[in-house]
Amino acid sequence: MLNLKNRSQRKLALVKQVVMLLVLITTILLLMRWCKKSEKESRFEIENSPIKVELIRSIAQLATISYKDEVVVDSLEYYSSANEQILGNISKLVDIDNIKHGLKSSNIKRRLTLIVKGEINIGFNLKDKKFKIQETDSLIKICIPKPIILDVLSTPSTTRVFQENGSWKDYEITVLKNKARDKMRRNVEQLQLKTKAKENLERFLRPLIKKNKKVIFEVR
Amino acid sequence: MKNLSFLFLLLFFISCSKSEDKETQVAVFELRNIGLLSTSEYTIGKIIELKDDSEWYKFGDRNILISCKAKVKAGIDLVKIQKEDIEVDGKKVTIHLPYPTLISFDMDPNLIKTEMEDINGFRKSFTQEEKNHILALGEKSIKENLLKTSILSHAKQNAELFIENFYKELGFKEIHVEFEKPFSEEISSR
Repeated sequence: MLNLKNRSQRKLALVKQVVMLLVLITTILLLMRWCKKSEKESRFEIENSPIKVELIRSIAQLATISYKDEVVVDSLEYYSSANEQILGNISKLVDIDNIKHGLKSSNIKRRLTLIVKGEINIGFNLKDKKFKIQETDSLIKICIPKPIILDVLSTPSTTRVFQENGSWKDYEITVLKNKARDKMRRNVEQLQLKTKAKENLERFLRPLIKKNKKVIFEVR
Repeated sequence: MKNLSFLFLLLFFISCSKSEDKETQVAVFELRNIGLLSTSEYTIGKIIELKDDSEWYKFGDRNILISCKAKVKAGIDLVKIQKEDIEVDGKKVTIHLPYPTLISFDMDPNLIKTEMEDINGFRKSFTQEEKNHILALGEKSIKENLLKTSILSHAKQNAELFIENFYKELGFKEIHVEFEKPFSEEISSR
């Protein structure tokens, strides 16, 4: 009878210990999750350092078309062998930032995906020597250079890191950001906006010329 | 045991608490007809300093210095010019122009460089996501201080010169270029 009582007490103590262990593990996991969440949400504050004007340039650029675009760029690296994959995934499992990438034992070693929003301005460089105004008795001829992409504008605030698996160097993200800009440039070329840019230039310059003469625009 | 259960429950509620609803904004990507005459371009440099040592539960701290450059263009929005803003009297022309504004802001990724990164204790290096966030703060700081530079007055001078040359080539002898008051002056004069 005493033996039975001891055994049930021991069982109860074991259950208690298991429950305590489970509570402890859950608490640690929740604490880790909370720390991670608060780290993500914590707002960085930069020091109030001055800005420095490094270069001043006089320009004359007339942008006549603006196009807003959004592109996705991705960089991906696979494990070269099964051994590397196993070791890589184990190392991800012990890293709290990459634990989710190691759980499924994926063959992806690193992945960086960016979503980049940008604005492209298309227009004319009026400082170009080809920009000339020739006037005769009956007409005004305005020679303009070919329309070009004046700006591809994208900034850190318009760039979003969608996925970051593994560690990435600064030059690698620079390559990716440049790839996004090239993609936007290609999109503009496909839309054939340069013809429209010329039409708009005519629309803006014509009212400035208050003369009763015929005005001709010529692209050189 | 009771204490542990309480802690467990507390953490459970903390972790399950709802985050604030974020306002969703849908951007529309469209083609716009514009008429922006840029006359001045400034290259602005900034060193972004960040010391990440504020959290009590993290052992160690992280410091980073990032240098970056922004290219800013300023000029005139020609769309705002109306027919009545140009007065012609023989060989004399008077044109009323809107005051110059900032036209574009760009941060070339090739001109962004991490100058120094110091990580100690049990802290991890800055991720690219964090660096992008730090750069966005730098961008905001440059934008906030831009109007303290002379970019708008420089753009105004250049615009005046450009318009004068434009009308000279059209055969006008006397050219008057007048600018609207800047927005800040308009407010103070009211």
